Amino acid sequence: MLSIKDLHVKVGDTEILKGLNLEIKAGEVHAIMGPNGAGKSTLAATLSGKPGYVVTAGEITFQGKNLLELDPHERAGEGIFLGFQYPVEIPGVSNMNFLRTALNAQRRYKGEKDLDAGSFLKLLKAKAAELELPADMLKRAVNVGFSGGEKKRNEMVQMSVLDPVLAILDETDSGLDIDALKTVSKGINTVRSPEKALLLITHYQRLLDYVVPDHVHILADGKIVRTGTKELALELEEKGYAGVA
Amino acid sequence: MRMINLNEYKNQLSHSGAKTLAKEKALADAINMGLPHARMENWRYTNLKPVTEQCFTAAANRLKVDEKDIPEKTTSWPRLVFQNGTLLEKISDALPHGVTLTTRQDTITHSQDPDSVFEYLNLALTSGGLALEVSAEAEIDGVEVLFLLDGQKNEALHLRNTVHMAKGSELSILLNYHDQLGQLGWLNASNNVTVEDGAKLIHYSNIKAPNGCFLNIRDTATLNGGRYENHSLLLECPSARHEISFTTSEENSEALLNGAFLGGEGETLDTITNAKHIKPNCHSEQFFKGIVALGGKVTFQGKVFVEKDAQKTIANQSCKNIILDQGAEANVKPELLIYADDVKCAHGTTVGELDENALFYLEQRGISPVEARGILVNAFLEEVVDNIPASEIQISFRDEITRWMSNS
Repeated sequence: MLSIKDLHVKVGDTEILKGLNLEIKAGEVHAIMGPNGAGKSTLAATLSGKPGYVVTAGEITFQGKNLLELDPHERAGEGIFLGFQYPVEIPGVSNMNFLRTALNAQRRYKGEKDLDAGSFLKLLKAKAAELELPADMLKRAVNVGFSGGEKKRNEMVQMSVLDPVLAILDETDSGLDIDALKTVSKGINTVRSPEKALLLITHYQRLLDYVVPDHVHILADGKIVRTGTKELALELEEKGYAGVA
Repeated sequence: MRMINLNEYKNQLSHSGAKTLAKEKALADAINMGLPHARMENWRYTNLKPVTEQCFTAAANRLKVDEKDIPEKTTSWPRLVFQNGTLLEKISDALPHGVTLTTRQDTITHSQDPDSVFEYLNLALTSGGLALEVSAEAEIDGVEVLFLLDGQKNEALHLRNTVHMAKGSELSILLNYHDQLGQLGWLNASNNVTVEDGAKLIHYSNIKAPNGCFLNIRDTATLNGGRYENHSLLLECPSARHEISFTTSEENSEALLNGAFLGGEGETLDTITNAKHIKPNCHSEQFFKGIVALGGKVTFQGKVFVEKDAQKTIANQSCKNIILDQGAEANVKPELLIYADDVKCAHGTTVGELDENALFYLEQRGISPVEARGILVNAFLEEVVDNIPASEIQISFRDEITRWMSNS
């Protein structure tokens, strides 16, 4: 589904990714771990098309298409979702209206008709309930006044409604208490399917207890230096990055 | 570059058939004041060329106006339709009980800024307008007024409107200026309102001139213990100057000035406010938001003046602006002159850009860059729209903003 070959990415004058290779097949869950500054968020930003991240070499193919030729909203239409590490607050824009606009924009991209207001509301309420986000929060402005955990759960509600093919979750587990972690993990697991894929970026092993990965990669100094199974994450916890990478 | 001599307007007054002593004096005062120029602080950012380089003749009512040619009403309120300064009775609705058309007293009250030579020209050369009297204790939902501007490029309309709110009365009034009937060169409009004790006037303005009319609109309120709200939307004007002034002539007066101005390519929009607190225990709020796109220029000059005896004054002013593109310009100048010492006066002005992170967040969810920009601009201006009491006008203003965004 996703094929990254020899990816080099520059931010400003600094090269962050230095020849990263990664293959993700449909149905798989991949976890990327690594020390701070290794390039994990840079990878997520590059895949989603964030401005300021310049690809100097390499290629990224998503479902047969050259991802680098697509704008961020087109990549979303193709089925890519980024769960932000720091979800931004957008005063004056309600969660409900924002998500409905996003869903319908993606549907139009795929040549489908807009979802009517009634059906959308039903869908949204159901997904919010699954993720234990109170319905009245949906009327509020996007992430405004939300706690860290609520913001992350809001990311999961959006993911649930938008139903992406590839979800890239950038440290979705950071700042979550045990209960929130379990809820968020439940949300992530409900979108697992043979046709979809997940790329989890995380520092900590404990998310991987709940969302069990097929592959664990260690990203250090701009490259994937080691790949293993979920056991690698446990080894990492024991020995630290220096002992494992 | 030829600057006209205001004496050239003397002939116009003589031949108008409406010469009075008051008008003669007003024109003499205007000539004494002389035309404004860009070196005067109040006029620094305004594009004055259209009105200082040619002498305009009086606009004539030429076109035959048919009901089907005029825009639909914005609200469910009764509507008066004017062609220039003349009321078109046949296509106007009857006024509700408690509101009457009256004879206007054409005088300049102390609340008007003597800096504005165009106010004196207006008084000297006015050919008509609206004069309303709202009876004591009358509570009226609202009245809509449509001014159809008819004229040619070398013609000016000096429109003079007055509203008097008697004690305890309430009225909402929406003024729409529509310049698409003709090619009028200059609208010099003066709206003078007096709000007596316990009365409330909510004054809405939808200010646009897609046909290119140069707009000078002055809203001036004398508050004798009453409450005045001024809600305005200013957009699609090549050149417009909207001045809003009020004077708290009696204690316990209140004012809310709330508006948005949207400047597009090549457009110059000026909003000038003047809050004069001369009596104690009065409260005013100024709340403005500006958006300016490529090549446009918006200016806000907001004055608050609190006299020595105006103790316990509360006067706040806020103007926030967003520049959408490089090459767009926003000038914001708050000016506070506070001579009383027991007051609460806060002010804040900002000029910034749309939040890039917010834009990317929307785009990552599938929303196109153009639509994302529109969403954030609408969200930014929503606070102004939210302050508007009449829901029909809220909807109308929101639609105008959305339309403007999709065209910008």
